[in-house]
Amino acid sequence: MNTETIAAAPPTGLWAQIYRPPFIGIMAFVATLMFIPIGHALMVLTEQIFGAEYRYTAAFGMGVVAIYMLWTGVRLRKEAIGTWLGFIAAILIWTSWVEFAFMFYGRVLYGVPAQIQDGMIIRKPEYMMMSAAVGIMGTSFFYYFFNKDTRCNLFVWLHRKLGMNLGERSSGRDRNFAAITFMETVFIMWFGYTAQLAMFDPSMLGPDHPITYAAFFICLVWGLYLFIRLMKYRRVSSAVRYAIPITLILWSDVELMSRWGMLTEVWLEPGKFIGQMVAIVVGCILVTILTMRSPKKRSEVESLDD
Amino acid sequence: MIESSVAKLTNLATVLAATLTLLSGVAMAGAAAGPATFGAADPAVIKCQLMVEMHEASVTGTQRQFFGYAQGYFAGRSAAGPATSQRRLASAGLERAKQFSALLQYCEKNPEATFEDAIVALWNSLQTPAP
Repeated sequence: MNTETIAAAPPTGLWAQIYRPPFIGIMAFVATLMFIPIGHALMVLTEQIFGAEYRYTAAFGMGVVAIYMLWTGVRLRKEAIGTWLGFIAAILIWTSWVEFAFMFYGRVLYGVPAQIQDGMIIRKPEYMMMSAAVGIMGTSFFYYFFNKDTRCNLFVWLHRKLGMNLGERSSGRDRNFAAITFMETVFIMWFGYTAQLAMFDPSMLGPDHPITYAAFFICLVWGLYLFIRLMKYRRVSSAVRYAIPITLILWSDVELMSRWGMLTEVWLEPGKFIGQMVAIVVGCILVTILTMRSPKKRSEVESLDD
Repeated sequence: MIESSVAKLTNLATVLAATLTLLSGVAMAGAAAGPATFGAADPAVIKCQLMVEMHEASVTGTQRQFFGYAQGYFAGRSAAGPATSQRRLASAGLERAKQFSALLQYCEKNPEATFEDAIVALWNSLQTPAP
């Protein structure tokens, strides 16, 4: 048992009240939510600071840092820190290797033209490249869907409703939470991106298509339903893992509202909205620290190799 | 309370029906041509400001499309005029890069002009090759 982790946990008073439902779920949600705009801003800053010449090298380096973070989480084999390292590594790897690889192949190597509408650029080449990966996404989806050991609530629910008997689930004791959270985050982001890109593309659906409006309300209702469930969580680590898909589902609505001109995405212009971005980063750090300092349940404290 | 109500609503039939509706909607929408274009539908009338933005967003694709259009312009105008006024754009190498750079620089300096203006300026700046 890791006694240091217990000692770090705030014991009584106001802190004890904060580390109870529904605040555990709210903290997990707020912390994961704020990482998304930070990832967006990081990408924009990488483009602006390093320019067209060095941005791909910088992105490669950023991806290496992400892999090192993931490796650290995998090696530590502790649930709480592993969950956070896996999540942050996933945001970083998506921002760097995934986004910039599509950008390099689309913009530079293959010369995919930008999509134009009403005298404006509505889609850049990297996002058309990303849309083309839908088949690979669908293929790898079934690897995870047919996994009998999956803890994904949606998959488990579908297995049950579809009467799919995949066999007895293995013990979760040796699960590596860093790797699981990493892949969960990457896959949900990939799925979310692909769906959004189809909705934004006027040659497929377009932002004013009825299906796009329906998707907005489905994501809103689905996200709120999951958020209500999240409020009942008592364990921070599992709350964080549950908050990731909620964040990404609700983020689809943020992207849609931005596309409809209902809000300004300050994270896409970090140089212009410095105050707002500083507030998001500081808030994110504070809430993340709060979640990390929460009292750990026994299952969270035990090192997996104990 | 809320959970149980929502759970009742989200039964498998609802999910399947929604999925089928969504998929059929995607299929129907996919068949209709959208108003957007991949690259410029007609590079000649594109405003220089947009051309510069397109170049930033897609270096190779924009260069390929707009320079290809300029080559066509040069070939057409040369064919229509007398042999003494023929001009042509380079197909590859440093010369091609320089000529495209001239087009881009014109557009950067004249954001309100059209790309055709940029081509005409380039045409006027190039000399007729020696026979």
